[in-house]
Amino acid sequence: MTSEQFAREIVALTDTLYRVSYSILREACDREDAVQSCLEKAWKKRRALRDERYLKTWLVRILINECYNICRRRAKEAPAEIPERAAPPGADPELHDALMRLPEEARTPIVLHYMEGYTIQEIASALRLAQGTVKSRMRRGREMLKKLLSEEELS
Amino acid sequence: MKKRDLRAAFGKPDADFVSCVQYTLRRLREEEERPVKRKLRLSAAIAVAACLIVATAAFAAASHWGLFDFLDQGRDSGTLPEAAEIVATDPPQQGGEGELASFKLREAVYDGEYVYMVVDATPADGLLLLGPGLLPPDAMRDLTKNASDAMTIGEYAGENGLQMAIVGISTAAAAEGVEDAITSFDWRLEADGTLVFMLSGDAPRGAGDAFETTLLCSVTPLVSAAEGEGITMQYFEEDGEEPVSKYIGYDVDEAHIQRSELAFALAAAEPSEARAYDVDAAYPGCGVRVERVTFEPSPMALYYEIRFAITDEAAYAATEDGVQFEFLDASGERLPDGATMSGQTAAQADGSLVQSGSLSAQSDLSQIAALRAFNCWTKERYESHELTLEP
Repeated sequence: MTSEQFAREIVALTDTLYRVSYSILREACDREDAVQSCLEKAWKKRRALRDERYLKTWLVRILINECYNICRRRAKEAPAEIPERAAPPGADPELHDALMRLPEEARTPIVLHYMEGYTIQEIASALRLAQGTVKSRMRRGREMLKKLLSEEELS
Repeated sequence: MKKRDLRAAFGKPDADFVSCVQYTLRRLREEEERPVKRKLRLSAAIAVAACLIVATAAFAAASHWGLFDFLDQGRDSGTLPEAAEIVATDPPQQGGEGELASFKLREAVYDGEYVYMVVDATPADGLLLLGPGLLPPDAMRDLTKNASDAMTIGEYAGENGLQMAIVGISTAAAAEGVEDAITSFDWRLEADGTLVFMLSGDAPRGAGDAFETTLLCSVTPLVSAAEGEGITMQYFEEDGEEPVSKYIGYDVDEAHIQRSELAFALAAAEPSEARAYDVDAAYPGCGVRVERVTFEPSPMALYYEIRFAITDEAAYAATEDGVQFEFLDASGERLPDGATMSGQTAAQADGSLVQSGSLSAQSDLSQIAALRAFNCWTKERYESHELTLEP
Protein backbone atom coordinates (compact mmCIF):
# COMPACT_ATOMS: atom_id res chain seq x y z
CA MET A 1 0.00 0.00 0.00
CA THR A 2 1.52 3.32 -1.03
CA SER A 3 1.59 6.24 1.37
CA GLU A 4 -1.02 7.96 -0.80
CA GLN A 5 -3.38 4.97 -0.65
CA PHE A 6 -2.80 4.65 3.06
CA ALA A 7 -3.57 8.33 3.65
CA ARG A 8 -6.71 8.04 1.51
CA GLU A 9 -7.92 5.03 3.49
CA ILE A 10 -7.29 6.82 6.78
CA VAL A 11 -9.21 9.90 5.67
CA ALA A 12 -12.13 7.63 4.76
CA LEU A 13 -11.98 6.20 8.29
CA THR A 14 -12.06 9.60 10.03
CA ASP A 15 -15.64 9.08 11.27
CA THR A 16 -14.71 5.70 12.74
CA LEU A 17 -11.66 7.13 14.47
CA TYR A 18 -13.79 9.91 15.90
CA ARG A 19 -16.56 7.62 17.17
CA VAL A 20 -14.19 5.13 18.78
CA SER A 21 -12.14 7.84 20.49
CA TYR A 22 -15.33 9.65 21.54
CA SER A 23 -16.56 6.49 23.20
CA ILE A 24 -13.48 6.31 25.43
CA LEU A 25 -12.26 9.88 25.91
CA ARG A 26 -14.36 12.82 27.03
CA GLU A 27 -11.98 15.69 26.20
CA ALA A 28 -11.60 16.79 22.57
CA CYS A 29 -7.90 17.53 23.07
CA ASP A 30 -7.33 13.99 24.35
CA ARG A 31 -9.13 12.52 21.34
CA GLU A 32 -6.88 14.55 19.04
CA ASP A 33 -3.77 13.42 20.94
CA ALA A 34 -4.92 9.81 20.69
CA VAL A 35 -5.63 9.92 16.97
CA GLN A 36 -2.35 11.70 16.28
CA SER A 37 -0.32 9.07 18.18
CA CYS A 38 -2.36 6.32 16.52
CA LEU A 39 -1.63 7.63 13.02
CA GLU A 40 2.07 8.07 13.78
CA LYS A 41 2.34 4.47 14.97
CA ALA A 42 0.22 3.12 12.12
CA TRP A 43 2.25 5.06 9.56
CA LYS A 44 5.53 3.64 10.81
CA LYS A 45 4.20 0.10 10.93
CA ARG A 46 1.99 0.16 7.85
CA ARG A 47 4.27 -2.08 5.82
CA ALA A 48 3.83 -4.76 8.48
CA LEU A 49 0.12 -4.92 7.62
CA ARG A 50 -0.02 -7.97 5.39
CA ASP A 51 -3.65 -7.82 4.35
CA GLU A 52 -5.16 -4.46 3.52
CA ARG A 53 -8.63 -5.78 4.33
CA TYR A 54 -7.69 -5.65 8.01
CA LEU A 55 -6.58 -2.01 7.96
CA LYS A 56 -9.64 -0.77 9.81
CA THR A 57 -9.46 -3.42 12.51
CA TRP A 58 -5.73 -2.90 12.90
CA LEU A 59 -6.03 0.87 13.05
CA VAL A 60 -8.85 0.84 15.59
CA ARG A 61 -6.85 -1.52 17.78
CA ILE A 62 -3.95 0.96 17.80
CA LEU A 63 -6.36 3.83 18.51
CA ILE A 64 -7.97 1.99 21.42
CA ASN A 65 -4.54 1.38 22.93
CA GLU A 66 -3.70 5.06 22.62
CA CYS A 67 -7.04 6.04 24.17
CA TYR A 68 -6.48 3.72 27.11
CA ASN A 69 -2.94 5.08 27.55
CA ILE A 70 -4.43 8.56 27.88
CA CYS A 71 -7.10 7.27 30.26
CA ARG A 72 -4.39 5.82 32.48
CA ARG A 73 -2.56 9.15 32.48
CA ARG A 74 -5.79 10.98 33.24
CA ALA A 75 -6.89 8.55 35.95
CA LYS A 76 -4.95 10.42 38.61
CA GLU A 77 -6.40 13.78 37.62
CA ALA A 78 -10.04 12.87 37.07
CA PRO A 79 -12.41 14.58 39.45
CA ALA A 80 -14.38 12.29 41.73
CA GLU A 81 -17.61 13.25 40.04
CA ILE A 82 -17.47 13.59 36.27
CA PRO A 83 -20.11 15.94 34.88
CA GLU A 84 -22.27 14.63 32.07
CA ARG A 85 -21.23 15.30 28.50
CA ALA A 86 -23.70 17.21 26.33
CA ALA A 87 -24.40 15.77 22.88
CA PRO A 88 -22.29 17.47 20.18
CA PRO A 89 -24.04 19.28 17.31
CA GLY A 90 -25.70 16.87 14.87
CA ALA A 91 -25.84 14.01 17.36
CA ASP A 92 -28.99 12.17 18.44
CA PRO A 93 -29.14 13.59 21.98
CA GLU A 94 -31.21 10.76 23.52
CA LEU A 95 -28.96 8.08 22.10
CA HIS A 96 -25.88 10.05 23.02
CA ASP A 97 -26.96 10.52 26.60
CA ALA A 98 -28.01 6.90 26.98
CA LEU A 99 -24.70 5.65 25.60
CA MET A 100 -22.75 8.01 27.80
CA ARG A 101 -24.50 6.65 30.86
CA LEU A 102 -23.17 3.18 30.14
CA PRO A 103 -19.88 2.22 31.74
CA GLU A 104 -17.05 2.55 29.22
CA GLU A 105 -16.36 -1.18 29.35
CA ALA A 106 -19.84 -1.83 27.96
CA ARG A 107 -20.06 1.22 25.71
CA THR A 108 -16.97 0.60 23.60
CA PRO A 109 -17.93 -2.96 22.56
CA ILE A 110 -21.39 -1.68 21.64
CA VAL A 111 -19.91 1.18 19.62
CA LEU A 112 -17.55 -1.18 17.83
CA HIS A 113 -20.29 -3.69 17.07
CA TYR A 114 -23.29 -1.54 16.24
CA MET A 115 -21.58 1.54 14.84
CA GLU A 116 -18.51 0.05 13.23
CA GLY A 117 -19.73 -3.43 12.32
CA TYR A 118 -17.06 -5.37 14.20
CA THR A 119 -17.60 -9.05 14.96
CA ILE A 120 -17.35 -10.32 18.52
CA GLN A 121 -14.03 -11.91 17.62
CA GLU A 122 -12.64 -8.63 16.25
CA ILE A 123 -13.79 -6.74 19.33
CA ALA A 124 -12.22 -9.32 21.59
CA SER A 125 -8.98 -8.98 19.67
CA ALA A 126 -9.06 -5.17 19.68
CA LEU A 127 -9.83 -4.94 23.40
CA ARG A 128 -7.66 -7.92 24.31
CA LEU A 129 -10.56 -9.64 26.01
CA ALA A 130 -12.02 -13.11 25.84
CA GLN A 131 -14.99 -13.41 23.47
CA GLY A 132 -17.19 -14.49 26.39
CA THR A 133 -16.27 -11.31 28.26
CA VAL A 134 -17.15 -9.18 25.23
CA LYS A 135 -20.49 -10.96 24.91
CA SER A 136 -21.40 -10.50 28.55
CA ARG A 137 -20.40 -6.82 28.51
CA MET A 138 -22.43 -6.26 25.38
CA ARG A 139 -25.41 -8.09 26.82
CA ARG A 140 -25.25 -5.97 29.94
CA GLY A 141 -24.81 -2.79 27.88
CA ARG A 142 -27.74 -3.65 25.62
CA GLU A 143 -30.00 -4.26 28.57
CA MET A 144 -29.05 -0.96 30.15
CA LEU A 145 -29.45 0.83 26.86
CA LYS A 146 -32.90 -0.63 26.26
CA LYS A 147 -33.96 0.40 29.69
CA LEU A 148 -32.57 3.90 29.21
CA LEU A 149 -34.22 4.26 25.85
CA SER A 150 -37.54 2.97 27.15
CA GLU A 151 -37.32 -0.25 25.17
CA GLU A 152 -36.74 1.46 21.87
CA GLU A 153 -35.11 -0.84 19.36
CA LEU A 154 -31.56 -0.50 18.08
CA SER A 155 -31.19 -0.47 14.36
CA MET B 1 -41.09 0.37 18.22
CA LYS B 2 -38.85 3.09 16.93
CA LYS B 3 -35.66 2.17 15.06
CA ARG B 4 -32.63 4.34 15.71
CA ASP B 5 -29.29 4.56 13.97
CA LEU B 6 -26.63 4.23 16.62
CA ARG B 7 -24.07 5.85 14.31
CA ALA B 8 -25.89 9.15 14.86
CA ALA B 9 -25.27 9.02 18.59
CA PHE B 10 -22.01 10.99 18.54
CA GLY B 11 -22.63 13.20 15.51
CA LYS B 12 -19.96 13.91 12.94
CA PRO B 13 -16.31 14.61 13.77
CA ASP B 14 -15.76 18.24 14.65
CA ALA B 15 -13.53 20.44 12.48
CA ASP B 16 -10.59 20.24 14.90
CA PHE B 17 -10.62 16.45 14.83
CA VAL B 18 -10.80 16.33 11.03
CA SER B 19 -7.98 18.85 10.64
CA CYS B 20 -5.92 16.92 13.20
CA VAL B 21 -6.20 13.75 11.07
CA GLN B 22 -5.44 15.61 7.86
CA TYR B 23 -2.56 17.59 9.29
CA THR B 24 -0.97 14.49 10.86
CA LEU B 25 -1.18 12.59 7.58
CA ARG B 26 0.24 15.50 5.62
CA ARG B 27 3.10 15.87 8.08
CA LEU B 28 3.89 12.15 8.02
CA ARG B 29 3.90 12.13 4.22
CA GLU B 30 6.11 15.21 4.01
CA GLU B 31 8.54 13.81 6.53
CA GLU B 32 8.79 10.60 4.56
CA GLU B 33 9.01 12.16 1.14
CA ARG B 34 11.76 14.67 1.86
CA PRO B 35 14.66 12.23 2.32
CA VAL B 36 13.66 10.48 -0.90
CA LYS B 37 14.38 13.64 -2.81
CA ARG B 38 17.96 13.52 -1.62
CA LYS B 39 18.36 10.17 -3.33
CA LEU B 40 17.85 11.63 -6.82
CA ARG B 41 20.66 10.66 -9.16
CA LEU B 42 23.17 13.48 -9.58
CA SER B 43 22.26 14.10 -13.22
CA ALA B 44 18.59 14.30 -12.37
CA ALA B 45 19.34 16.55 -9.43
CA ILE B 46 21.35 18.91 -11.64
CA ALA B 47 18.54 19.06 -14.19
CA VAL B 48 15.99 19.78 -11.49
CA ALA B 49 18.26 22.38 -9.92
CA ALA B 50 18.73 24.13 -13.28
CA CYS B 51 14.98 24.42 -13.70
CA LEU B 52 14.57 25.60 -10.15
CA ILE B 53 17.22 28.32 -10.41
CA VAL B 54 15.27 29.97 -13.23
CA ALA B 55 12.10 29.96 -11.22
CA THR B 56 13.56 30.59 -7.77
CA ALA B 57 14.33 34.27 -8.12
CA ALA B 58 10.79 35.14 -9.08
CA PHE B 59 8.94 32.81 -6.76
CA ALA B 60 11.25 32.36 -3.79
CA ALA B 61 9.51 34.85 -1.58
CA ALA B 62 6.12 33.51 -2.54
CA SER B 63 7.08 30.00 -1.40
CA HIS B 64 8.38 31.11 1.97
CA TRP B 65 6.35 30.45 5.04
CA GLY B 66 3.94 33.21 5.85
CA LEU B 67 2.25 34.36 9.01
CA PHE B 68 -0.52 31.75 8.91
CA ASP B 69 1.92 28.92 8.14
CA PHE B 70 3.65 29.66 11.43
CA LEU B 71 0.41 30.08 13.34
CA ASP B 72 -1.13 26.86 12.00
CA GLN B 73 1.80 24.55 12.78
CA GLY B 74 0.32 21.33 14.06
CA ARG B 75 -3.13 22.77 14.65
CA ASP B 76 -5.73 25.17 13.42
CA SER B 77 -4.80 28.49 14.97
CA GLY B 78 -8.46 29.49 14.90
CA THR B 79 -8.26 32.78 13.05
CA LEU B 80 -11.34 34.07 11.25
CA PRO B 81 -11.30 34.15 7.42
CA GLU B 82 -11.20 37.95 7.50
CA ALA B 83 -7.84 37.77 9.30
CA ALA B 84 -6.21 37.35 5.89
CA GLU B 85 -7.54 40.77 4.94
CA ILE B 86 -5.72 42.59 7.73
CA VAL B 87 -2.27 41.22 6.94
CA ALA B 88 0.02 44.05 5.79
CA THR B 89 2.36 42.73 3.08
CA ASP B 90 5.73 44.47 2.62
CA PRO B 91 4.75 47.37 4.90
CA PRO B 92 6.84 50.59 4.70
CA GLN B 93 10.16 50.11 6.53
CA GLN B 94 13.65 51.45 6.76
CA GLY B 95 17.04 49.78 7.17
CA GLY B 96 17.78 46.11 7.57
CA GLU B 97 20.58 45.98 4.99
CA GLY B 98 23.98 44.45 5.62
CA GLU B 99 26.85 42.61 3.99
CA LEU B 100 26.19 39.30 5.69
CA ALA B 101 22.40 39.32 5.57
CA SER B 102 19.55 41.67 4.84
CA PHE B 103 16.37 41.82 6.90
CA LYS B 104 12.93 42.61 5.59
CA LEU B 105 9.52 42.73 7.26
CA ARG B 106 7.43 40.75 4.77
CA GLU B 107 4.11 40.35 6.58
CA ALA B 108 2.62 41.90 9.70
CA VAL B 109 -0.60 42.26 11.61
CA TYR B 110 -1.26 44.69 14.41
CA ASP B 111 -4.82 44.30 15.64
CA GLY B 112 -4.60 46.84 18.42
CA GLU B 113 -3.80 44.19 21.02
CA TYR B 114 -1.15 41.91 19.61
CA VAL B 115 1.48 42.23 16.93
CA TYR B 116 2.55 39.46 14.53
CA MET B 117 5.58 39.94 12.27
CA VAL B 118 7.25 37.77 9.64
CA VAL B 119 10.82 38.85 8.91
CA ASP B 120 12.98 37.38 6.14
CA ALA B 121 16.73 37.21 6.82
CA THR B 122 18.38 36.71 3.43
CA PRO B 123 22.02 35.62 3.67
CA ALA B 124 24.94 36.59 1.46
CA ASP B 125 26.25 33.81 -0.77
CA GLY B 126 28.05 31.05 1.12
CA LEU B 127 26.44 31.74 4.50
CA LEU B 128 24.15 29.49 6.53
CA LEU B 129 22.05 31.47 9.01
CA LEU B 130 21.32 29.89 12.40
CA GLY B 131 18.40 30.80 14.63
CA PRO B 132 19.14 32.44 17.98
CA GLY B 133 20.69 30.01 20.47
CA LEU B 134 21.54 27.38 17.87
CA LEU B 135 25.09 26.09 17.49
CA PRO B 136 26.81 23.74 15.00
CA PRO B 137 26.26 20.58 17.11
CA ASP B 138 22.48 21.20 17.17
CA ALA B 139 20.18 19.26 14.88
CA MET B 140 19.47 20.62 11.41
CA ARG B 141 15.79 19.89 12.04
CA ASP B 142 15.80 22.68 14.63
CA LEU B 143 16.42 25.02 11.72
CA THR B 144 14.29 23.45 9.00
CA LYS B 145 11.44 22.12 11.19
CA ASN B 146 11.76 18.93 9.16
CA ALA B 147 11.86 16.04 11.63
CA SER B 148 13.57 13.73 9.14
CA ASP B 149 16.68 15.91 8.90
CA ALA B 150 19.25 13.70 10.61
CA MET B 151 22.38 15.85 10.18
CA THR B 152 23.69 18.38 12.62
CA ILE B 153 23.88 22.00 11.49
CA GLY B 154 27.69 21.74 11.42
CA GLU B 155 27.57 18.64 9.24
CA TYR B 156 25.15 20.31 6.84
CA ALA B 157 27.28 23.43 6.61
CA GLY B 158 30.39 21.33 6.00
CA GLU B 159 28.72 19.23 3.34
CA ASN B 160 27.51 22.32 1.50
CA GLY B 161 30.62 24.47 1.97
CA LEU B 162 28.75 27.12 3.98
CA GLN B 163 30.02 29.36 6.74
CA MET B 164 27.66 29.51 9.72
CA ALA B 165 26.40 32.74 11.30
CA ILE B 166 24.01 33.16 14.22
CA VAL B 167 21.17 35.64 13.80
CA GLY B 168 19.79 37.63 16.70
CA ILE B 169 16.69 39.83 16.67
CA SER B 170 15.45 41.97 19.52
CA THR B 171 13.63 45.23 19.85
CA ALA B 172 15.31 48.50 20.59
CA ALA B 173 12.93 48.86 23.54
CA ALA B 174 14.26 45.63 25.08
CA ALA B 175 17.82 46.89 24.66
CA GLU B 176 16.84 49.97 26.66
CA GLY B 177 15.36 47.85 29.42
CA VAL B 178 11.78 48.65 28.45
CA GLU B 179 9.27 45.78 28.36
CA ASP B 180 9.82 43.84 25.15
CA ALA B 181 6.94 43.49 22.70
CA ILE B 182 8.26 40.17 21.42
CA THR B 183 7.19 37.27 23.59
CA SER B 184 7.12 34.50 20.99
CA PHE B 185 9.87 33.62 18.59
CA ASP B 186 9.96 31.02 15.83
CA TRP B 187 11.92 30.50 12.64
CA ARG B 188 12.28 28.24 9.65
CA LEU B 189 15.13 27.84 7.17
CA GLU B 190 13.78 27.89 3.63
CA ALA B 191 15.27 25.88 0.77
CA ASP B 192 16.88 29.00 -0.76
CA GLY B 193 18.74 29.77 2.49
CA THR B 194 16.41 32.50 3.75
CA LEU B 195 15.83 32.24 7.49
CA VAL B 196 12.23 33.29 8.06
CA PHE B 197 11.34 34.57 11.52
CA MET B 198 7.94 34.81 13.12
CA LEU B 199 7.87 37.26 15.99
CA SER B 200 4.81 38.07 18.02
CA GLY B 201 3.82 39.60 21.30
CA ASP B 202 1.63 42.02 23.18
CA ALA B 203 1.69 45.53 21.88
CA PRO B 204 3.04 47.82 24.61
CA ARG B 205 0.38 49.56 26.65
CA GLY B 206 -0.53 52.84 25.08
CA ALA B 207 0.49 51.76 21.58
CA GLY B 208 -3.01 52.74 20.47
CA ASP B 209 -3.65 52.95 16.76
CA ALA B 210 -0.01 52.60 15.72
CA PHE B 211 2.70 50.17 16.73
CA GLU B 212 6.15 51.58 16.09
CA THR B 213 9.29 49.64 16.71
CA THR B 214 12.87 49.15 15.65
CA LEU B 215 14.25 45.67 15.40
CA LEU B 216 17.93 45.26 16.22
CA CYS B 217 19.23 42.55 13.91
CA SER B 218 22.64 40.97 14.37
CA VAL B 219 24.55 38.40 12.34
CA THR B 220 27.48 36.76 14.14
CA PRO B 221 29.75 34.66 11.90
CA LEU B 222 31.45 31.58 13.29
CA VAL B 223 35.00 30.58 12.39
CA SER B 224 36.94 27.40 13.13
CA ALA B 225 38.74 27.38 16.46
CA ALA B 226 41.82 25.49 17.56
CA GLU B 227 41.27 22.62 19.98
CA GLY B 228 40.63 23.88 23.49
CA GLU B 229 39.59 27.34 22.28
CA GLY B 230 36.41 29.11 21.28
CA ILE B 231 32.78 28.43 22.18
CA THR B 232 31.98 25.79 24.77
CA MET B 233 28.72 23.96 25.31
CA GLN B 234 27.61 22.85 28.73
CA TYR B 235 25.50 19.76 29.19
CA PHE B 236 24.70 17.09 31.76
CA GLU B 237 25.82 13.53 31.18
CA GLU B 238 23.53 10.72 32.22
CA ASP B 239 23.46 10.53 36.04
CA GLY B 240 25.90 13.45 36.14
CA GLU B 241 25.35 16.06 38.80
CA GLU B 242 27.71 18.72 37.48
CA PRO B 243 27.53 20.12 33.95
CA VAL B 244 30.25 19.09 31.55
CA SER B 245 31.87 21.66 29.23
CA LYS B 246 32.90 20.80 25.72
CA TYR B 247 34.56 22.90 23.02
CA ILE B 248 32.56 22.84 19.81
CA GLY B 249 35.44 23.71 17.45
CA TYR B 250 34.11 27.14 16.51
CA ASP B 251 34.60 30.68 17.73
CA VAL B 252 32.79 33.96 17.17
CA ASP B 253 34.33 36.16 14.48
CA GLU B 254 33.87 39.35 16.47
CA ALA B 255 35.53 41.56 13.88
CA HIS B 256 32.82 40.81 11.34
CA ILE B 257 29.61 40.91 13.37
CA GLN B 258 26.91 42.75 11.44
CA ARG B 259 24.48 44.95 13.31
CA SER B 260 21.58 46.60 11.53
CA GLU B 261 18.31 48.21 12.44
CA LEU B 262 14.95 47.67 10.82
CA ALA B 263 12.38 50.35 11.67
CA PHE B 264 8.70 50.35 10.80
CA ALA B 265 5.28 51.48 12.01
CA LEU B 266 2.12 49.41 11.75
CA ALA B 267 -1.35 50.91 11.84
CA ALA B 268 -3.92 49.06 13.93
CA ALA B 269 -5.96 47.00 11.50
CA GLU B 270 -9.26 47.23 13.30
CA PRO B 271 -10.43 49.11 16.33
CA SER B 272 -11.37 46.50 18.93
CA GLU B 273 -13.80 47.02 21.74
CA ALA B 274 -13.00 45.34 25.03
CA ARG B 275 -15.86 43.70 26.92
CA ALA B 276 -15.38 43.45 30.65
CA TYR B 277 -17.47 41.32 33.01
CA ASP B 278 -17.40 41.45 36.78
CA VAL B 279 -17.35 37.95 38.21
CA ASP B 280 -17.46 36.59 41.73
CA ALA B 281 -16.31 33.01 41.41
CA ALA B 282 -14.55 31.21 44.24
CA TYR B 283 -12.17 28.32 43.57
CA PRO B 284 -11.48 26.94 47.05
CA GLY B 285 -9.62 23.95 45.61
CA CYS B 286 -6.76 26.23 44.63
CA GLY B 287 -7.42 29.15 46.95
CA VAL B 288 -8.35 31.89 44.50
CA ARG B 289 -11.34 34.00 43.49
CA VAL B 290 -11.92 35.34 39.99
CA GLU B 291 -13.07 38.93 40.00
CA ARG B 292 -13.13 40.10 36.42
CA VAL B 293 -12.92 38.68 32.92
CA THR B 294 -12.17 40.89 29.93
CA PHE B 295 -12.40 39.96 26.27
CA GLU B 296 -11.01 41.77 23.26
CA PRO B 297 -12.22 40.31 19.96
CA SER B 298 -10.13 40.38 16.79
CA PRO B 299 -10.14 38.38 13.54
CA MET B 300 -6.83 36.91 14.75
CA ALA B 301 -8.00 35.69 18.15
CA LEU B 302 -10.30 36.38 21.07
CA TYR B 303 -7.90 37.85 23.59
CA TYR B 304 -8.81 37.57 27.24
CA GLU B 305 -7.64 38.62 30.67
CA ILE B 306 -8.76 36.90 33.87
CA ARG B 307 -8.15 38.88 37.04
CA PHE B 308 -8.08 36.83 40.22
CA ALA B 309 -7.06 37.19 43.85
CA ILE B 310 -5.57 34.73 46.30
CA THR B 311 -8.08 33.96 49.05
CA ASP B 312 -6.39 31.01 50.74
CA GLU B 313 -2.60 31.32 50.90
CA ALA B 314 -2.04 27.69 51.94
CA ALA B 315 -4.23 26.23 49.20
CA TYR B 316 -2.65 28.50 46.61
CA ALA B 317 0.89 27.69 47.79
CA ALA B 318 0.08 23.99 47.41
CA THR B 319 -0.46 24.58 43.68
CA GLU B 320 3.14 25.84 43.33
CA ASP B 321 1.90 28.83 41.32
CA GLY B 322 0.31 26.38 38.89
CA VAL B 323 -3.19 27.88 38.87
CA GLN B 324 -4.53 28.53 35.40
CA PHE B 325 -7.99 28.86 33.92
CA GLU B 326 -9.62 27.35 30.88
CA PHE B 327 -12.84 28.36 29.18
CA LEU B 328 -15.39 25.60 28.56
CA ASP B 329 -18.27 25.35 26.12
CA ALA B 330 -21.77 24.15 26.99
CA SER B 331 -20.61 20.52 26.66
CA GLY B 332 -17.84 21.01 29.17
CA GLU B 333 -15.18 20.86 26.46
CA ARG B 334 -12.21 23.17 26.69
CA LEU B 335 -12.39 25.92 24.07
CA PRO B 336 -9.30 25.81 21.85
CA ASP B 337 -6.49 28.28 22.41
CA GLY B 338 -6.02 31.08 19.95
CA ALA B 339 -3.00 32.26 18.02
CA THR B 340 -1.06 33.65 20.95
CA MET B 341 0.65 32.06 23.90
CA SER B 342 -1.95 31.26 26.52
CA GLY B 343 -1.91 31.11 30.24
CA GLN B 344 0.67 33.76 31.10
CA THR B 345 0.04 35.04 34.58
CA ALA B 346 1.42 38.33 35.86
CA ALA B 347 1.25 39.81 39.35
CA GLN B 348 -0.35 43.26 39.55
CA ALA B 349 0.63 46.17 41.74
CA ASP B 350 -2.49 45.68 43.91
CA GLY B 351 -1.52 42.07 44.68
CA SER B 352 -4.01 40.48 42.31
CA LEU B 353 -2.98 38.23 39.43
CA VAL B 354 -3.94 38.44 35.77
CA GLN B 355 -3.87 35.51 33.39
CA SER B 356 -3.83 36.62 29.78
CA GLY B 357 -4.11 34.59 26.64
CA SER B 358 -6.34 33.99 23.68
CA LEU B 359 -9.03 31.68 22.38
CA SER B 360 -9.83 30.88 18.77
CA ALA B 361 -11.31 33.96 17.15
CA GLN B 362 -15.10 34.09 17.32
CA SER B 363 -17.62 36.66 16.26
CA ASP B 364 -19.44 36.58 19.61
CA LEU B 365 -18.98 35.10 23.08
CA SER B 366 -21.83 32.60 22.86
CA GLN B 367 -19.54 29.55 22.92
CA ILE B 368 -18.15 30.46 26.33
CA ALA B 369 -20.17 28.75 29.05
CA ALA B 370 -17.88 28.24 32.02
CA LEU B 371 -14.49 28.96 33.51
CA ARG B 372 -12.58 26.12 35.14
CA ALA B 373 -9.41 26.34 37.18
CA PHE B 374 -6.70 23.74 36.79
CA ASN B 375 -3.13 23.13 37.80
CA CYS B 376 -0.76 23.52 34.87
CA TRP B 377 1.83 21.24 36.53
CA THR B 378 -0.29 18.33 37.71
CA LYS B 379 -3.26 18.89 35.34
CA GLU B 380 -5.56 18.55 38.34
CA ARG B 381 -8.88 20.20 37.62
CA TYR B 382 -10.46 22.36 40.29
CA GLU B 383 -13.91 23.94 40.38
CA SER B 384 -15.80 25.19 37.38
CA HIS B 385 -18.16 28.19 37.32
CA GLU B 386 -20.77 29.09 34.76
CA LEU B 387 -20.24 32.42 33.04
CA THR B 388 -23.11 34.59 31.92
CA LEU B 389 -21.75 36.92 29.28
CA GLU B 390 -24.43 39.32 28.15
CA PRO B 391 -23.66 40.89 24.76
